[in-house]
Amino acid sequence: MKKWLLAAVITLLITPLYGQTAYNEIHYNHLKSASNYMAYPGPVQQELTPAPRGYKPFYLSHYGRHGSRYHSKPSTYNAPYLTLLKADSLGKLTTIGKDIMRRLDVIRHDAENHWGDLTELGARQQQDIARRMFERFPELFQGHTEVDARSTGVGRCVLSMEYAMVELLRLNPELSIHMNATHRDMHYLNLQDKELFNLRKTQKAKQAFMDFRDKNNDFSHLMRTLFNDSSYVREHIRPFDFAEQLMLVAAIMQNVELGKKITLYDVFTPDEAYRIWEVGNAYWYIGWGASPATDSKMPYVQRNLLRKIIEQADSCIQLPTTNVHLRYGHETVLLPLLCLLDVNGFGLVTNDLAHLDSLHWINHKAFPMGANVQFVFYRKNDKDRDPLFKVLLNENEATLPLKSVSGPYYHWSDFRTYYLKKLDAYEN
Amino acid sequence: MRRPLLLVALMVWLGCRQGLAQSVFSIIDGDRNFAAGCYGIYPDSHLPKLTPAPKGYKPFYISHYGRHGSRYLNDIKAFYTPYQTLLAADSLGKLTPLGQVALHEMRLNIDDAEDRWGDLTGVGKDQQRGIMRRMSRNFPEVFRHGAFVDAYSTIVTRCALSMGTSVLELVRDYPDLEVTMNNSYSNMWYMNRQDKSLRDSAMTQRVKTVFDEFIDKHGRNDRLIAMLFNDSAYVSQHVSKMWTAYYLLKAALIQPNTHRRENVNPLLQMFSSEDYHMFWKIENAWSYIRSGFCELNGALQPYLQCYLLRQMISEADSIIQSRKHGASLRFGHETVLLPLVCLMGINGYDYRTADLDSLESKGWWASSVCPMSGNLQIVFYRKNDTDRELLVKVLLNEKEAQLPLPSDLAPYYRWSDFREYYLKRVAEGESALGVKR
Repeated sequence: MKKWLLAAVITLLITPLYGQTAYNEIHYNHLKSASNYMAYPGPVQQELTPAPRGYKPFYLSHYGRHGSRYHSKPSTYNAPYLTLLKADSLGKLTTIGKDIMRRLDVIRHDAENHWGDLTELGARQQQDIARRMFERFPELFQGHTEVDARSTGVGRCVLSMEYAMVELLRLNPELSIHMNATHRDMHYLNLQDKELFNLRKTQKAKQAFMDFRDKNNDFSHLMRTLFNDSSYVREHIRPFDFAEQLMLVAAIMQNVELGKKITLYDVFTPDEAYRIWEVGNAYWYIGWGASPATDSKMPYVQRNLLRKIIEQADSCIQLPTTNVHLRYGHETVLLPLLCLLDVNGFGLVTNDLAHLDSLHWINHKAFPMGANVQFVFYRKNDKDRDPLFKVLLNENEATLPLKSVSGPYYHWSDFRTYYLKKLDAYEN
Repeated sequence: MRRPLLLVALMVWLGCRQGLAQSVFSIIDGDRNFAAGCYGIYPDSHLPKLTPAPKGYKPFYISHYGRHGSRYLNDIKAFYTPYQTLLAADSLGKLTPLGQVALHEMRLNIDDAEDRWGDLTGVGKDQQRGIMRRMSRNFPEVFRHGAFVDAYSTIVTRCALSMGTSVLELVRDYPDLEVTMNNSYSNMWYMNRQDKSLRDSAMTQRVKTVFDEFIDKHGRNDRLIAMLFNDSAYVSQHVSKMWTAYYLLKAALIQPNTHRRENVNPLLQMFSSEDYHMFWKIENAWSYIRSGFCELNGALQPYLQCYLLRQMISEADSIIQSRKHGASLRFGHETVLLPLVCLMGINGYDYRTADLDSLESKGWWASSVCPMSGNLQIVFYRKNDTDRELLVKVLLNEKEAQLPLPSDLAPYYRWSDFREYYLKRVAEGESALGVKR
């Protein structure tokens, strides 16, 4: 009897741990704590589910984040460096602290004037994604197929688009590729909705975040590792802020060539890395997900993009030709889009910020560098007006809250009805 | 026997001088686009044949700087200034029927350009594709078998898109090209160098006085204004003749860059060749003040491109050493290309004067250098990859150009002469600007 109780207690204790995917991942690999700065991992799924008999792909609609990049502001690199520099001038750094400061100095010089630039790895990610797109759906890229690519006006997005297009063209030099980057498209490629954004600034939203952050504020190990004087730390350092600043620089290194030589991860324990990730994850959830702290409204910031995806699909369904629509932008667009679509459960609504991980709302599953969503449409022939489609999130087949026809394949008409109703309900 | 020959020679000489003086007008009379200056469409028909390289020489490297392709106007001002003037006049019944057509056209222009300010257009992309297609076909040796293309653009979107469009065209012909593309701020120090105090020094009070006199002398707008407004008393009280005319002409001339309603452009048809010639003169003088060796402002402006020219030379040096073959393509702005051409004295564009009136007769025509997609290509030739007796030729807008160096092989020049001459010129420029190296 007692043994049974003990077993039950132990099971209950370890269950959350087993359920915490990100926790395990980060303990195994610090790189996974990088949130939106994680480099693109590539598809896990090597073999895609074959389409139901008789169906062939005829249209692809995509939104992709730019590839790996540098941080976009010098201050991101300078902040932790300057904190250490000041402490050093007062003799408050340990040997490790001095070493980290020197590494930060090398890193910030490497980044000089590259603010926000796409990196070599970022270019490669885009080429790889485009190549796999071509190889997985060769029917979509035959002959003179029209490929319409659009990007936001941000340099790394334009370049991401161009690298992807170079790759497609190498594979079929006859493709008819159109590239655009115009302010005219920004209302759906990168809508700035001040009204919704303001929900992040409410007391309710701020309090929810701060409460959670304050529960995850133990960085005493990191402080002891870097600083030699605990009273100096108490007076001059805000542990969470500093740990986060240092982690931002640590996280970006996997995206740049210098990252092959220098890491900053060695100063963080796995628990510290996880804590920073968890707070960051909650931040993204409140600011971009369907969090009740922001009235579950943030995903609707992508309503125009979803409507555009639907409208363009509707029009391509009417065409006998094959078509491809590619869109290049930002994680701040992709994440709320995925939440709006509730892809793989990203539409989660919960007040329980401490359990986002075990509830599988894990930001880097959605939006690492190069992240992308692909809608691939299938039909029996060019007169078929009732197509099927599937969704790939980061090139893995994904689920939607709809009844599937077979495996990852859904009826487009079901999608249309469901999401147009959802959008209408919000807009009215 | 000798006298008639001399007379003929004299007549030919006079004729040429005279011809040059008249030809801007006659060119414009035949082709309005030439009046557009830096807003002109790239002239890619009737390109002359290229001179074959001396025996045994093959091209292996191209160093290029090109302006982005045709674009929309950068900002609303050029459209809005005349639009508001016409709109106000119309509300009081002060427009002629033609003035009302102009007002309607300006409304259409504004709607078309809304949220597209500065965007590369379809016309612009076609220009870029055409230039690259001809480059890859004129110099196939440069792009074959393991060639590289390193492309750079400024951080401006139309330049990055011009770069991508160009690179795609090359990849279409040569799918195995090794390509890198960059649009990093870290290259701006030579791709689009900025020096505010130098720029400000282009338009001192003295220059402004001379330029204003030039405008007063040439800016005859009365006929044009009378054509649009029906009340001269209203005009003298409420209409800036100069700016209304200037911006309307500009609006008319930029239109063909956007491909809207291809050949139908009522605005463009509204004005006479004289109007366009006047616009050209003012634009040309302004380009000279801003980009040329203008003695009114100390003849310093082209030196800002010393950074670019030095970079082009040192990149070429390293390509030559590496035995690689391919191209360095750079995509930027006319405010770089024009002063670069002046700095290099290509086709006599290093002409120095304080007399703005002389530009036209001396052939200093910005329109010939920096239309949309204007470009400079330095093509390198060698016999084999250990050859150090290299030749270069320069193409300005795909036409073989003349450099201010002696050569018995023109349009081919010895790279060693080129290098020495231009490093010296760069050093002069750097010393004039007080650059410390």
